[in-house]
Amino acid sequence: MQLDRAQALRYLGYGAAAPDARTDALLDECERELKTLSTARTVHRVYSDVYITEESSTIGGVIFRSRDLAGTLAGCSRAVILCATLGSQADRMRLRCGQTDLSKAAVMDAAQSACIEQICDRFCERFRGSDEADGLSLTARYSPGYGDFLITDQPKLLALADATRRIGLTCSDSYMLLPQKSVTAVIGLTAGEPRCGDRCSACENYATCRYRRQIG
Amino acid sequence: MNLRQVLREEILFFDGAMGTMLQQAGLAMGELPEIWNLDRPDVIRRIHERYFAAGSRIVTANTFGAHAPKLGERLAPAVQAGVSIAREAANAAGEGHFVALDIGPCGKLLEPLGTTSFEEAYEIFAQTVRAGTADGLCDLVLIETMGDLYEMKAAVLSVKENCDLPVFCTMTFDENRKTLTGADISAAVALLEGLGADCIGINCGLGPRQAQGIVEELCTLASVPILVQPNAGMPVFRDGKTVYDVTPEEFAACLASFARRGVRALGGCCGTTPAHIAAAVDACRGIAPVPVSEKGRTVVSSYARGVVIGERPVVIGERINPTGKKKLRQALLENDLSLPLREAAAQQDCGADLLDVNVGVPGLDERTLLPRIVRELQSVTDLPLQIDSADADALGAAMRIYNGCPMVNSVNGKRETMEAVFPLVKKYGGAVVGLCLDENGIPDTPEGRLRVARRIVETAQEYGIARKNIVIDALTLTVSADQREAFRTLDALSLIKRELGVKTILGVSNVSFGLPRRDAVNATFLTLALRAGLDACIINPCAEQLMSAWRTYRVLSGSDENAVEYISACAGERQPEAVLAQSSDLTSLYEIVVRGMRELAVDAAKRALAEKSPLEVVETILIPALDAVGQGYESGKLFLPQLIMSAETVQKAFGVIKEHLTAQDGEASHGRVILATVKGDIHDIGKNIVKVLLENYGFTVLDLGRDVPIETIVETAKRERIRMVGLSALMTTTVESMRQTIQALHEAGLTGCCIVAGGAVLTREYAARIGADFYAGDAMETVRIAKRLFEEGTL
Repeated sequence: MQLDRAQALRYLGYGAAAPDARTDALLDECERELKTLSTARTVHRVYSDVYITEESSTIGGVIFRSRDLAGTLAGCSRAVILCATLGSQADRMRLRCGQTDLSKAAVMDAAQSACIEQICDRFCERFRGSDEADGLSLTARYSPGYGDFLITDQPKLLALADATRRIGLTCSDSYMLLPQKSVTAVIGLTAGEPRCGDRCSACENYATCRYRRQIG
Repeated sequence: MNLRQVLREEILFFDGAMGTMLQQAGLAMGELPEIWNLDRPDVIRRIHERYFAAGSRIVTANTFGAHAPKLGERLAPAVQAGVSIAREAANAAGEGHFVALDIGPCGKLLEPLGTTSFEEAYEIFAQTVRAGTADGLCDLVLIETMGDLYEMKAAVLSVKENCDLPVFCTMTFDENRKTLTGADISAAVALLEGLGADCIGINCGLGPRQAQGIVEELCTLASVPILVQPNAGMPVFRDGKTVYDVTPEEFAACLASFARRGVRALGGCCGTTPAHIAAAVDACRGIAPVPVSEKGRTVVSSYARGVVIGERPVVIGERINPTGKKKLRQALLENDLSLPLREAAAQQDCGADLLDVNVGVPGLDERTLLPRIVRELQSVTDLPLQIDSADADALGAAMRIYNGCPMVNSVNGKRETMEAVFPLVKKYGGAVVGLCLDENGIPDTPEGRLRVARRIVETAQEYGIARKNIVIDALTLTVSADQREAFRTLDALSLIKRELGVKTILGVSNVSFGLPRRDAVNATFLTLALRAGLDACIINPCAEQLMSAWRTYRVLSGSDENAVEYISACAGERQPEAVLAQSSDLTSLYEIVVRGMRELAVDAAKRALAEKSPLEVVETILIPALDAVGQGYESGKLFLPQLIMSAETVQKAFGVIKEHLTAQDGEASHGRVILATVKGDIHDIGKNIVKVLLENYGFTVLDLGRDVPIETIVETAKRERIRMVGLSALMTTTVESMRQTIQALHEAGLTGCCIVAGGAVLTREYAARIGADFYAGDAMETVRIAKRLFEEGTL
């Protein structure tokens, strides 16, 4: 998988600006190393017992109290719980840089963030049109930490996908996903028009965020 | 009937899946299976009975997920009930049926990748073990489905230290033959055998066909019986459900092939049913158990891989040792581990197979430092370590938390050293170096050294340590003192190897002490020693002459088949970063800092020092350059990687300048600052950037690290009379931890201590709300705050 350098640069605060030669070289190095990554994994489960109100979403009997999540899932008959991780090998890559090369560590961090997002994007592409999707359309994926979807709900998503056993994804006492470069998300499946579009536009920090996604 | 005896004589069958059966019986998503031991014991008992009827000899109690964090007060009752139910079913099935306490992962990722310490994980497992073995109803403990060798070690020790039962251990591997945290089969076998497991192997993760390669490798490597419990295939999505679709017949055929290959215990994991077990028992009827053979391998391991000693000569990097290294000794005394960590990376890059680590400095508390540095080293390198200390308590503490099986340096012929160290090696595994000296000193004949070596090997046997795990050091003395020493050592080496059949090791560098061009002398001695039978050499892997001797010897001896490695080492040139530099010779230090050309920093600093005093270089070149870069960053012309590279360039330049700064140049430090990522949070890149910049600007940083307990921050601030504390948190949940830290600092009465809060999740308003004095949006802002506080005294 080719690294999406534009996204990695976005995570470094570059926006649309071009990187200098040295940063470019560091990105090259990180991209090469990431190609050797063999521990990236995803796991997902599709739930049909989905019940959405204005304030909450109930998936597989588990209640999520978030208006923003409910807004994304409005009109959905099914929900996909997706969990993805680059694995502990990626964490070790960053730890190793951290001691000897801080600038590479910063670039590696951004590159890995871009990488895990790409893995999630690729999952969505493959899922769309698969038998499991059953002809339904996918909403944008929505994760704890977006809007009012609190990160204290992480354990629920992990449990719904059996992610700890299947891909070794855990959650610390402070609700941090471990290994660190990981994503948990809810994706709605609907027969109607799905809520898609730019995830950034719905965020309360949109006006001031240095890392905002550029449209187009 | 004795389980260990049955294991020696027969092929043992475990049971199949419990979870699958419980789901069929109505277990809901999110419901804890272990609670059914209390609420629906009849269902559990029935499942055990069905497996015994199918031919299982051992059932695992329904305690797989029974850990205190999940079950709380219900842990002991649920575990005891689970064990009782299994016992009842076993008794009903008659003699020769056994009960295993089942222990699965605790659900927390251990450090350094997670926030749970080794000791915390140990405690979690110990509670389950105590609850499950208190009534004496179990015949063994099964620790299974582990994806992390470190967690497995905590679990195995918790069993060994809380009961006497046999312990069976299985890891989960993926199609790449690695565990979740990246360990290969060799590392797993080394660790589990080193810890004294009675039976080891693989479960879950793969179906029987996918497991074949792993089973083959296990049979080749292991010297203890092997247990294999595959899933009923890989999960497939069919008709709206996830199912495992390997039939009992297919399953049984694979298991029978495993039995013929030499596997001694079999069972099934996810998706398997009593039908699968019955078919497997049937298919294996009449297969004669293959005797387990001792493989005689000397292996030391890290979290990820095992290194075999004896197949080809092994290089042990010697540089993390303060003897004769002023900078390293200073760094250790100042509790700054960044230099040893960089040495580790450098030695690994140069080709070391293992790294020696020694922190024996007068005035240093080895008992806390040695485990700490071992932990830090293991977070940046996957090479196994040689833990080197004369302090048995320090050794024990370090070996306990070591992730893998280490090489231990050392014991010698004196009885006390062996009494102190052999029990540690027995408990934690690994190989131990034996020095050929005793209370009479160093024997001056090869026969004399052989005698000491023999005594060490024989004493080791008393402690249950096999000969394969003893590595003898015939001792290298300097030829400057007596020119006969070199050949004396070599003769002793050959003699010991021939007579005792042990692996050998030498600290090569000693031979040339006092002579010029030491590398040349060492390289020749190394070559001779390799020919004399040396298995491991302690050298400086960054000395090209030494590595060249090692590589070329291996070509000549045939160890490097077809000289592949030698040719590749000659061809692979390390890309110097100077590839990017243009007119390198004439670029000023200022330019070099602004452009972040780290690799040119040292030379440019030296040139600048030829023309200006150290203080002038700092004040008229480095600081203005940094200021310019900082401004560029804040105005959006430069970006984070460039800021960091410039800061690192200054850091390197400082390395040179510090040596020239004298006391007359005034206060070395502009002020002392504590930095810490708060408890519960392990993000630290931002904090580390702040640290480098603050140091660039002349401040001294006490970096307490990440996930720092509140008490540590308060105590350090009090003890060191700190006036500025920088706290970092990156999650909404750990901001709460920051609030508590700030509150504790206030309650400790630290008036005059200014608290600065930073981290992407914070805002100015929020920082004020949780009681911080300042909010720093980025590293430059932190530097400005420090300057105002310490230099201008205005805040």
